[in-house]
Amino acid sequence: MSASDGTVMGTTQIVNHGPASQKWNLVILSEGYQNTEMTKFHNDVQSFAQTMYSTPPFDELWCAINIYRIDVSSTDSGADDPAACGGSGATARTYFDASFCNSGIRRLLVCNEATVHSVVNAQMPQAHMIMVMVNSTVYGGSGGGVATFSLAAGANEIALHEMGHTAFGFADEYEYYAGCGSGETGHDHYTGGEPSQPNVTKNTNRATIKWGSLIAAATPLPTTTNANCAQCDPQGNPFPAATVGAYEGAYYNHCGAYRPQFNCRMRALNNPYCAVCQQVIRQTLAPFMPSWTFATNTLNPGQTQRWWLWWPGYPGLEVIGVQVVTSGAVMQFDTPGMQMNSDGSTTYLLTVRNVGNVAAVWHFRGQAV
Amino acid sequence: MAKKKSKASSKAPPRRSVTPVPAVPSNRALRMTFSYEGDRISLVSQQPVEMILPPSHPFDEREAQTGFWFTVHGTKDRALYRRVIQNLIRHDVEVFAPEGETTVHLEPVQKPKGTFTLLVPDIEGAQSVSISAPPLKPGAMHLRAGEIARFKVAKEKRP
Repeated sequence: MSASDGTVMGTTQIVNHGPASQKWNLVILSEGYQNTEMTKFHNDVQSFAQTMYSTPPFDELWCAINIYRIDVSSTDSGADDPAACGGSGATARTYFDASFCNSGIRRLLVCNEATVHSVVNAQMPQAHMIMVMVNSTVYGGSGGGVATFSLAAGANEIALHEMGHTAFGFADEYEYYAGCGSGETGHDHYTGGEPSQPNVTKNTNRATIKWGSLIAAATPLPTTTNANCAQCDPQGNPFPAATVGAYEGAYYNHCGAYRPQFNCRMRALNNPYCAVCQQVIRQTLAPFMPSWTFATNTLNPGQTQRWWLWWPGYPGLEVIGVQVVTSGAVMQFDTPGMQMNSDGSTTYLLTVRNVGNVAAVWHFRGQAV
Repeated sequence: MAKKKSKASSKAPPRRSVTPVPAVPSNRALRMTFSYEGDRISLVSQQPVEMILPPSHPFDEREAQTGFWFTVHGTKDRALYRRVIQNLIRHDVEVFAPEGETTVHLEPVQKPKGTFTLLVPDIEGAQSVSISAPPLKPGAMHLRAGEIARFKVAKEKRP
């Protein structure tokens, strides 16, 4: 039940959008797969990649992402499933020593983090996010620096929730510690300072709330309030699901802390990431997007094209803009966003819209200055 | 965020200049691996890696804030890079509701112990990396975060 119970077989890139040095790299390791089950692992990883691809906003950011799998075989199949938690009592000799029933909770599936990091550091040190896929159909998972999840239906959601924490720094948006109805005390009112995470706040001032740009002028702030802070707010969403505002009840407290939307994957599984979380994901992955994806293209009248431009260098870039090839075409060019990246490069969000009456072929041009 | 809207044509392409920003030399990073047990944190290794990192978060005033972040410091303690991330020194652990339900809740960790990595840019002039967190105990996420550890950045073995 340790690294002696298996072999690191190698690393394979399964989603390839460019060199690892330029992309955001997700690494998924196998746990509890015997040598003869590696094809199953390959299929399981592919299935997760498809799930991720179909999860907004990763679909539109897919060109920023590489996915690698690290094949690690184990002596036995599965994971420890102690009988003390109602499990089968199985003990599996596996490379990362995965086990259910941590802290006496069967669903808490944990593996040896130190061994995982050791393998990743050796095999794929450019990993931005690490996941371990455990070959068991028992539902379970856990977070932290390594997101661990089983093959049970719905366990992919655990991976996506934990990726929200690990890769994008999201806070939990649920309004309790031990659970609604748990009888917990000390979670009626949030008493701390402003949370540093991007998706929770104690601030309901329209002018200064950190996701204020996403709140419509007609949306009240706070958007909902909890009438009884001694418990979780039982009310349903009085607004359309996509409404961004400040909903009371978040960050482990019934009152005094607010979340951006009524529901979000960071509040409960099987929800999409809320608009604020999606915006943060876009900002985080922007430096990894390709620079010239749509350098030349054709737009029909009324069509809009959006793309990111990553500019590797400093001291700067002069965006010359859209050069229209088609005579008589009229294009509207916009640069609605830009950010400086950690390596000194700059990322621009660019849009171009054909506001004329004829299909237009165009080039985008920029130059260093 | 700069914003500019203009109409483009082959005759008069729009032009826009970028305000200069402080230079950062490369896309090199350090993969720093730590271990912890209780409230003791140890640096296990620093590995130079060629990779891009997400952009820095703002160096705003955080004295009244809660959460977890790390900061790369230069000379005179000047902040060079900061990322707000999940608390990787886990004294609470998320537990997912039984299969078919969607809720999540926390449980205290009985014997906090683990390993984590930080990806920090290998910025010229970087001297140290600090970790800021609330007090390391269960249920402390509402308490003010402060610097809990600082480690020197390796200067050798760069590719």
